[in-house]
Amino acid sequence: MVEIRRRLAALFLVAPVLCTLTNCTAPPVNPLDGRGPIVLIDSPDISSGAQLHNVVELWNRQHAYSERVTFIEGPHATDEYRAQLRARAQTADSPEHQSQCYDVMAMDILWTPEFARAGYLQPLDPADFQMDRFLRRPVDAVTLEGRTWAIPHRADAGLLYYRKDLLDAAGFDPPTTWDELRRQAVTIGARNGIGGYIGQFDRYEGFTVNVIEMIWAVGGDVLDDNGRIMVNEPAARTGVQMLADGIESGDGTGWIPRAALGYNERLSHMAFQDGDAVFLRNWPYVYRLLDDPKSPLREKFDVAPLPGPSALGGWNLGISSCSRSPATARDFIKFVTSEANQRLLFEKAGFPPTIADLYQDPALRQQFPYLDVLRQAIEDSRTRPTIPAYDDVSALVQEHLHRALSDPVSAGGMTDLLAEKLAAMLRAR
Amino acid sequence: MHHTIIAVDVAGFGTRGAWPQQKIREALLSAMRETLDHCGIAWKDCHAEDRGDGLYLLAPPNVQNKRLAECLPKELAARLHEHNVTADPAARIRLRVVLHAGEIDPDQQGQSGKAAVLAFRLLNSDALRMRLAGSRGDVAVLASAAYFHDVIENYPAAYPEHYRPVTVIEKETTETAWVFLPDDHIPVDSRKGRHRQPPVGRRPDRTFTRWARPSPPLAVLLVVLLTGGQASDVLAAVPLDRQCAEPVQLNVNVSAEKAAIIHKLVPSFVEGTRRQVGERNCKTVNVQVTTAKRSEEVIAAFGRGWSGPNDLRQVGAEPFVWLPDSAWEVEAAQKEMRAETNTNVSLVNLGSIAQSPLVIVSSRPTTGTEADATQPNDWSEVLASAQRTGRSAGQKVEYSRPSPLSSGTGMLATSVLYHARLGQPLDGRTFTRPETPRLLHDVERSIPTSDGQSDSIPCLAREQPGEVDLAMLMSEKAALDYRAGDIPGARCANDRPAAAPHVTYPRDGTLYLDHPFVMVNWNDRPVNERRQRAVRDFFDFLVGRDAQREFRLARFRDRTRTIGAVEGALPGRPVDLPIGPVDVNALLQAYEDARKSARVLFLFDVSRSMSQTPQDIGITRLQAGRNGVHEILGIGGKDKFGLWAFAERLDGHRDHRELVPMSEPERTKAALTGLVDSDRPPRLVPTLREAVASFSASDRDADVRDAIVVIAEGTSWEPDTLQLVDQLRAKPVPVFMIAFGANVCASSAWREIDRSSGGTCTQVSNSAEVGVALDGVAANLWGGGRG
Repeated sequence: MVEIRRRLAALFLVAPVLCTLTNCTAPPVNPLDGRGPIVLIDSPDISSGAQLHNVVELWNRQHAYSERVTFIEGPHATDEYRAQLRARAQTADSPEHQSQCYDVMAMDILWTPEFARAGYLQPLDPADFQMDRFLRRPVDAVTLEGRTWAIPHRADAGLLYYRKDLLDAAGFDPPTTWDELRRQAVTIGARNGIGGYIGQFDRYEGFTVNVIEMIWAVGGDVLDDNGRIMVNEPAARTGVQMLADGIESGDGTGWIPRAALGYNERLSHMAFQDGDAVFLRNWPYVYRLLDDPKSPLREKFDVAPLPGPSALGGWNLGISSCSRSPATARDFIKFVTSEANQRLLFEKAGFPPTIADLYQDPALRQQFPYLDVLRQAIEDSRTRPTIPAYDDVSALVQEHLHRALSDPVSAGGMTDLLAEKLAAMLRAR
Repeated sequence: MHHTIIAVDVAGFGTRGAWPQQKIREALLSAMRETLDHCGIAWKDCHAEDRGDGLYLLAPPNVQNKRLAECLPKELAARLHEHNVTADPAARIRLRVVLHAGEIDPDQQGQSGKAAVLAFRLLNSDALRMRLAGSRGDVAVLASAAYFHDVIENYPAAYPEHYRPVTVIEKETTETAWVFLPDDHIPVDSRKGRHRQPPVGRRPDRTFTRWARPSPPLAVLLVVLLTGGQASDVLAAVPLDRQCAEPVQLNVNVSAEKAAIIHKLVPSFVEGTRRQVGERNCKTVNVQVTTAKRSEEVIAAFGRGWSGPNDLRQVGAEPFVWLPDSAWEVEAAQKEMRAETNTNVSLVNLGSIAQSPLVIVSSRPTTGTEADATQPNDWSEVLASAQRTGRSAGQKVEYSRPSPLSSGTGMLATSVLYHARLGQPLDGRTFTRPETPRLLHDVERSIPTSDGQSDSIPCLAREQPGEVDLAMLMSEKAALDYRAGDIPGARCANDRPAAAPHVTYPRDGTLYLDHPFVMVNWNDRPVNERRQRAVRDFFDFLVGRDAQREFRLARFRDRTRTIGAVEGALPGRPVDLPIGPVDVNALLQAYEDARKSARVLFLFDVSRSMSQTPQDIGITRLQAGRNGVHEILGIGGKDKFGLWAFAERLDGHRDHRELVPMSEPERTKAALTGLVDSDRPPRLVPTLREAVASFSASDRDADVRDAIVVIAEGTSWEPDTLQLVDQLRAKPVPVFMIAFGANVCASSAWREIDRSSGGTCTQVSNSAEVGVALDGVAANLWGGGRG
């Protein structure tokens, strides 16, 4: 914040000087009213038909060249994408290097607080964006110390995809507890000679999400809201042990195929689509892929909320503090997050909307019956720890608990070691 | 004085509450007393010193070390188990134990002695923590190298075969120590019935000497440590951090070969750059490591100033540090930037951080043993051997190398082989010589690149059935990893262990990967001084003592080309191969062209005009053509050749006869001798039209170059040339006319055919000229049209 204030002050000081030089008489322009061409950075637009590009194109057609938006697609891997945003935010903050500024940044909800604290973002006026139209959870995630730092653009929460055909044949309703899920996975999996449950258990952020959801489901946590270590408490241990015992062992026990230890979102989706499992935990985008006319599972799957809370995911749009055209940037964000465009992006690309009303829209509900499940999952979701050292926490979780899952015998020892390492890491900060 | 040290630490002690901590202390003390008592050491004879959070014991000097090694691990495990089965879960004990022997100054029996310091490092090592965490039991014993070799190794009652070696790297300590899990038992009534192999002991690969060396008189020093004795509420409530400045972002792009070691080193670097701000130990740098998939992509992205629409998407975040394999890649990037007149980026090579020479790995020694005398003499010999084995059917050695587009190793491998084949400096002029494309194509057929899978080459070797021997050019580092069965990153489908491969070094020298550290300056942005400093710090860190040792441990040579004690490596420093300056970009272009495979259809004129014997050569034109073509038909590789003979109504109503359909070169070669002239008049165009049509009908592939080569007299005029030209304009296939007749190439018909097909017409009179003309064809096929 100091940064922003200092820069604003500098601009106010510079403006009158410019005026005397150019002999103008107009009052100094408020820098927050700046308009001009802007740059948008988002992760690659992999939606079918490049829908985000289309929305940008729509804006560009409606606006003069002087407010043109250039869309840059960042790296695929989210950690690299964030590294690119951080690096630019740390260099572009000077008037003579304006062209290097990413005016509008799409950010994972995990990073928004960090970017706000670091001074990379301009605070936004919630009234200006009619924030009361948005779902509560995503709004909480962009609010820090009572101020709004970004606008929720895509909401995300884990969903439970299941083989409706197989559950129906066995006379089961979709499970509402993990115990029930486990039993169904074992029964139906064995009956059909396929795996029970799969999720994202490769060593990356997806692993932390999947494991923390299980820990939450049994009433535990990794860190509590005060940053206190909870992962070696009985509840969390139960969650870890439940997953570890669930991984298939050589003797045929277990309800999670061992291959899932190498799955990310894409691989787990492919395995499910190939008929390798009864249940899949994945994000909403998978719905469209499974429902595709070419998908072998079309008509054979359905979706339910996870048996416990999901980790909240999603992407927000924020304005860089380096932007000299924040008025254009604000208008552009309003445009992209407008009800019309969110509807378009949901219909065409499957981006879950952040505007609450869209979930009540009769036409949409009829066309996409999973909207209710989606909304419930988002409303019931929880946020991962928002401490600045979250990355380090997540890395330690991945390192130790991935081993615990690979070798269930070590689950207790690895959980202890994780608690020890977390303690040392948090002490050092 | 020589002492034995026992260091003990309770896992997770710091995370327990105050009450469980008290219970643990009591139980541990009692377990230790009983254990020592049982092992013949009276507690009262030990000198004990309270360290607040631990206990310090000196045992009597008459202690039997062998008895201790035999007794302590199992007895201690038994005593702890006794406690654990009844204890509250929070008060259960899992214990790390270190056994070590070394010199300790009698006046300084405390923790300051060198031996004690090593014991503590072993005790706190991740290696030991991980082994305990992964054990079913409650105790993990780590014996130092000295203790293991002096006491345990030759004393069967201590179960030396159950100790496994682990590498411990802590601060300045690197040590191969020995882990023993005395109570890692498989419970018989295990719920899940997991019947795993018990930990595999050291293979009893040497005979135990019946009489162990007498141990030196030992005073036993006993250290019981309870570290991390803070109450658990110290960990509570980590407040939101506002005091630390935002860490500077340092994005690093690293070659696949160094990805593992850089990933391993980065956390130490980040830790080392923490700065104390008030109470806080602030992180000052965030490092993002991107592994380059293909060096070619990184080079091209630099050329575009990283501003191409897919550069961020495909290649990754803009780097501030680039760690390629070779300075040649830097040169290639700089040249690329000059070509694109891009001044936004400048690359500064701060120097080498590691070295690794290019070597050959073979699944079976090329000749006899690995002794120095059997190393190949030079790279020409390697190339010749690859060509030889390709020719004879019985002896199957498949050579391969990584692509120069994917890695610096590939660039080096390509350079040595091209240099060996051409015998010329690899400058721009060499690459434009007419014979170069054919010679390089020959290299590409003999030792092909396994493109797109260079990092899985070792997997290929493992997956090949035993009857095929493989030889691969790779860096010494990759070769030694492969030899040790340590293949990072590669996920081999087949886990079958490979036989130890052989690493050979040509005796006349080799090229080195110099692993440069390249600082990337973005000239279109303001200088971030903190980042500049972080870049320099990172370089200093990587060339510092600790990181250099890590490079050696990872089987690189350090920047002075010194290699660690690695089995299979040539001791000393292999000599540099002087190949002079290399035009890297021209090399890459030549490679792209030379590796294309070709489909060539030869059309042989067998009319009576070819039976003439020009006075100056003494053989018929047909024979001269045959001899010339014989030369260009290579062996092996993916090239395909076809052979048609033509003359008016040669085959019933048709003018041509297909002697060999598009197939392996051997068949065409064999069929050449069967070409005989006829007494029929010449007639070319209908055959040529059918030949062109045969190419149009089949699939076209960007990596396959097609050509029709006509060897003919060529002077007779034919009416349907215009239709041929139309056909070629629609679907061009290069037609190369090699004409014995005078003034054929100057005719308007052939000039038109050349233009529409992209081929050339060459007039010849003997075999040698046919050969030269075919070099021209080769240049067109494998030389990007040069020559």
